[in-house]
Amino acid sequence: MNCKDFREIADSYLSDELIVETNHEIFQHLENCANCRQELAFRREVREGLRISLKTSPEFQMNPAFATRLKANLKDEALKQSSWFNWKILTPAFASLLVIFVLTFAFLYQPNQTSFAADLSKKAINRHEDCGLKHLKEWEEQIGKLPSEKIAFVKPLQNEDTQILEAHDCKLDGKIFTHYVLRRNGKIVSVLKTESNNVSQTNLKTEDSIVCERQKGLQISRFMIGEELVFVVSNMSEAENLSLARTLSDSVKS
Amino acid sequence: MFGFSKTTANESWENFEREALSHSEDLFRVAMWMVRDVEEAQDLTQETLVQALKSFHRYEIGTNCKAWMMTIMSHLNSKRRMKLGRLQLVEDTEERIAETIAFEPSIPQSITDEDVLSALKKVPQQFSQVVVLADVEEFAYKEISQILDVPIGTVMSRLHRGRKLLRVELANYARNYGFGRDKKEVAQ
Repeated sequence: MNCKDFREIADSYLSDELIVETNHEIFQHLENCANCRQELAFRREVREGLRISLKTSPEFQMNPAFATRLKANLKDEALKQSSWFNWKILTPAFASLLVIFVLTFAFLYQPNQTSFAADLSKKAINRHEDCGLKHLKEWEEQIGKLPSEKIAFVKPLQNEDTQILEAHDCKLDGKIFTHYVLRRNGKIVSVLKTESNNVSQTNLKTEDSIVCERQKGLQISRFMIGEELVFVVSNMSEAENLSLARTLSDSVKS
Repeated sequence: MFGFSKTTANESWENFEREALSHSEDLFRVAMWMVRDVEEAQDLTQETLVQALKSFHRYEIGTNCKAWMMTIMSHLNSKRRMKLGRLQLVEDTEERIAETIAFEPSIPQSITDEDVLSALKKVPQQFSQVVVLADVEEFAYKEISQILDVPIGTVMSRLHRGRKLLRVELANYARNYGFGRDKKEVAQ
């Protein structure tokens, strides 16, 4: 190592950043070079002098009055932050909990949609029995005389096996039904349409679903068309009744 | 709830006081070096500590709080400089200065600590700042790199040049006051 090399790495040597081998080379060089020893001592003094002068120079010392004021301001700020914490963080947290509680409550206490649909099914059966079957003679007299716009909804079902006997509106417990009376292979079928009162889908899984049930010896198939519930009621088998309901549902949707 | 909050606030303040506020003198000293004006340095120190207080939940107790706050201060100072239009093109200056210090400075003697400080003030800020952070505040290269948001290589190069420039200034000082060797002699 020569003097030039030493000067290049003298600062790293002072900062203890060199590997053992390089340090060893430096020791050897310093043993034989008075100038570099002096240079190293000087650099060490400069560094120490700089540290001491900056840390003790009045110019770089904090004014005690400022230090006191600074501490007081910061403490105020810290307390302000603590009240900020209470109201700005805890309030939204409580609000979120409240929303969750309300939603949970609403979910748990929503009207029982299945029972709503079952109730409507009962009404549909009632309409089929009281209105469809009891006035059968009257309806049979008007076969083929009904205006086509009045029977448009069930017209797709009409064929040589199925005749449309009647179409009217009837009411039960304040619920209005559009009631179509049909005869299919000699069996009387009621198709009833009513508003679902925005109770979504009752217990239908999707709009395309048709739910079948049996009450009082009658077969019921029900499905949604837009905001309306449609019931197909008859004493046919479940498969026949469902097939008729499917034909109607598909024709309306297509 | 309020009792709990008050305890938490007090604990939080005590932690901040112990971990952060204890470095306020160091912050002020570096702020003074950065802005060279007492009032501005006070503002910068206060702004830094307020910012540190607001972000104290992000500070991991036991890590280097002083370096963390110096980083905050350096960012705040950069913003202030931008607002005041005091940004410098550092790289050009570095290149220019590098060309001027190709020689080895003389070895002046009988120079006081105050002389060293005066000489350092004549060294361009981007170099003297790194010298202060390394040799006075004793930060590691990596910490300085984070504080100033520059690569470690730049820190090392600025530190090397900064120390060299300081020696040049001390040599000039020594020559002006009639002690030490002339820098031309040394350059030969």
